[in-house]
Amino acid sequence: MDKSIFIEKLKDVIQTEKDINFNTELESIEEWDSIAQISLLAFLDSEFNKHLTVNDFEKIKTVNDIAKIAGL
Amino acid sequence: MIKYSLEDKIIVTGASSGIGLEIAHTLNRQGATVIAIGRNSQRLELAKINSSNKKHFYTEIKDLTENLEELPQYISHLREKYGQFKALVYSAGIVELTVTRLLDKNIIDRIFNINFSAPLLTAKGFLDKKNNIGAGSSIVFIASVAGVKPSKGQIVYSSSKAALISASKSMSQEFSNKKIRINCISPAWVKTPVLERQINYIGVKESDYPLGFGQTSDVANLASFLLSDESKWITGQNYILDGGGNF
Repeated sequence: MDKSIFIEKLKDVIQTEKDINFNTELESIEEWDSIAQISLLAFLDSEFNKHLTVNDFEKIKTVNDIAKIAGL
Repeated sequence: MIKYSLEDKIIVTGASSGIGLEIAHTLNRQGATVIAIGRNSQRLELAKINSSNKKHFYTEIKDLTENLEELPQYISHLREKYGQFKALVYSAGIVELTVTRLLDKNIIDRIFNINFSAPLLTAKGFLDKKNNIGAGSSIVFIASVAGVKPSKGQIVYSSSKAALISASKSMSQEFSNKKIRINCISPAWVKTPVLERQINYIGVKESDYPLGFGQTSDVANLASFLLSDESKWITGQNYILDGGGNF
């Protein structure tokens, strides 16, 4: 997946209109709540076939961490 | 202790792992002839090897979601092979995270086909009077506590199980005058390989369960009771097995 498309999809998943890039810290996104987190898990599962554990998930801090899991 | 006879032929779906496997082994150990249906031939073979009475533990490799329309005929085909059935346990299904913002029709159709349409159409086949023994026949559907108390991320999964619970109640009323009973078991988190991933996802803690996580045998023991004549006054019920958890 193209990186810019990935960013757009991710914004949709998190439901944010904030300008985000690969360095954005997830905690800085106002909409990054528990539903956004479950949505991200479902997104990584359905789009990239990546199944994360709670431990994996706790290590995710930035958009780049998500991109790495997605294999981008 | 509940006992079955070899004349009691019981179909168990999802029998190659987890709850379905445990139910198949339990019923076989208690004396029933088990027809174990699953998709994975190696795991089914292993299930047979590990069964108490291998001679009366039959395996059928089948993906029940492959062709939903033919499911009733498939059960008729099994009856021609094995004779009329006393009971059906429907324990196959999928667990998948779903959230509103990622919903699409394909996800809804897929989960409902597997968790709702397939069990109902299999039950239709079982309930054809040529295929069961009549009075004393029984069905147990394995639903989920999510069907009664849904959590975040379970929109479609929980609805599919709620639909199954509701359908089984209506079905039970249709068949009660024939003395055929239909019940559901709705477990919370039971330790199975299939659910391990979901437990990891959502971060369920054993401390949420005063009685600890469920074991597959906890579900199998209730299923066996509900299929047996010991429960002859029980139909149209949904039993929640949650170890005292308050979700």
